[in-house]
Amino acid sequence: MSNNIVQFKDVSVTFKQKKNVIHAVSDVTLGIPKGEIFGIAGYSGAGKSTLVRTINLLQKPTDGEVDVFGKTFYKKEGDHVSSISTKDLRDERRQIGMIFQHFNLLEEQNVQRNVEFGLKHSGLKEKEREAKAKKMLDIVGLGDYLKAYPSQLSGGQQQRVAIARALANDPKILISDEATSALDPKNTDQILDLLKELNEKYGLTIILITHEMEAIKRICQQVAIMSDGKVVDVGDLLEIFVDSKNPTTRKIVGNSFNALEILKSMNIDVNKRNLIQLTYLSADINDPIIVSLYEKFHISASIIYSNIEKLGEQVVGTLIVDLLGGKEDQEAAVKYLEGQNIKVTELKEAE
Amino acid sequence: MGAWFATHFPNVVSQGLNGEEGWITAVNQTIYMTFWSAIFGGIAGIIFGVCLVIFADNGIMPCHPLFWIIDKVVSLFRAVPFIILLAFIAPVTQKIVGTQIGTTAALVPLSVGVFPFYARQVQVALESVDHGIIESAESLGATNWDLIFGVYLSEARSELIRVSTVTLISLVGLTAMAGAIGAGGLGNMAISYGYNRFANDTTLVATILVVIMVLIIQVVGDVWAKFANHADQG
Repeated sequence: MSNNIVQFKDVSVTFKQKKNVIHAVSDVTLGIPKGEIFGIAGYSGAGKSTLVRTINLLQKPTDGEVDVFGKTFYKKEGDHVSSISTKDLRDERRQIGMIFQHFNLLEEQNVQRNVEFGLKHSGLKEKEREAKAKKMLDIVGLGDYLKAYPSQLSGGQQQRVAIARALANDPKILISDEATSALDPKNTDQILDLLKELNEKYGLTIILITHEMEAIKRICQQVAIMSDGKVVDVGDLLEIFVDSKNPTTRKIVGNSFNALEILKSMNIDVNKRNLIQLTYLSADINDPIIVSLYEKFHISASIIYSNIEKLGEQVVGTLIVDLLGGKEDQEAAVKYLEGQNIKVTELKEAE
Repeated sequence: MGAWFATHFPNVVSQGLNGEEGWITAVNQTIYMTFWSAIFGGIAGIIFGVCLVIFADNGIMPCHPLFWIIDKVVSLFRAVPFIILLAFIAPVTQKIVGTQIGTTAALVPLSVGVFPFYARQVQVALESVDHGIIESAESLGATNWDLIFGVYLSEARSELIRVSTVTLISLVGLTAMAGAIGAGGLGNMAISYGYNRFANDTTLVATILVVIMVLIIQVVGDVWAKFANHADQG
């Protein structure tokens, strides 16, 4: 048995609209490891939301298998469908919290009642439900707003209430479906940090659907990239943001790590120069490398572009330099750089 | 004042207050008919309205045949003009109430007349609940029961009060026609004792009393709807 808390196997979802058939999700096989913050990124319409909605069967797959907690929630083999019973599904849904872009709180109930709504079938007595709701609201920092109505709260606060509600049954998974997309940058960061804290404190597996790469970079450990209903790329942050050769991934994650794009935008003809891209984790760099290149190999490196970016806990630097010096010296210099844990990529455009 | 009134509204005064044709009797009959048919028609209307929403294709328990039947029943009853319904439904009234005429007998056609109208209004009110809220409640493991009572009816409460007010007002209008089957009430007062006897003063006072009742319902409904609404607070 794998360590995956959610396993999609060949999952497809199609919608029929009169004469058109829309393949929202096609043939996705993907495992989501327990205890991680797993990002699913892609443009809107890529099928991210549809895919995660098959986890708690808010959306039934048209084909394929969805396993959660090691149990088969839904499986279609040929024409035979086996699905978890309605009652079991309700019980399991309480173990899978979900938060949404538009918060979706009960507008006519106060904050405390909103959190208690999910506890109706928890077996807790009324007083215990009240206490649990208060505890959850304390965790998200809204202990003072028990009697407030959602419309009296800011977007960030409403999303906190939604988180408290989603987590009231102590679920093992939290699905965040574009939960920060309607928030301003400050609230977005606060909500993301809260999610990260919940992940670290309670071992909560978080599935973060978003089109915002900043959110992914801030808290995710692994990322899947979706496009046109397919998962086109999966890997950890560095693999996706720095190393991925996948053109769709490159396009979606933006070009801050993509040297050729950068140089093109600077009107530099890469094939006429001796350009190399150095990518490194800042924590690994102890030597003053540019100076060392000159001292050791008489290579002068003129810096064309440099950038530094945070990926989760790691700080990744990108440096594009033009190497001037003898051919042999250059080769030795590259070797030296690679020995310093620096990834060296020669920049030549295919003609 | 009393003398002035007696001179200018002689027919109004001669109707008396508590007699069979008296004003208090008429007002009570109107209130009686409005109240009970609102209860019966209201319950039926809410049940049909809820069914129209939950059995719809995008509802929480999609069921096309049931939706189709309920939808057609509601449309059919709405299509029958009330004054014809009064006569048309008389045999049913006879079975239920034991008589075809009188104030209590009028409750049957009134309830049947108002419920399809109310059902449509309830349907629209419940459909105004954001689908995202339903979905998030489902993600919390809510049962269909929770969704109907805890989400649909609860979230749409302000809208439901508003449409109930509208329905209640149109029900007051229907009771005026119930005079045709001897149900009494203010409508009957205005037609039978006012218009038919050329007693315009009686018609005027009966009309004013109906308008006052409608205004009271409207004001109470508006205030209550506003009070129940937490969604649009600043």
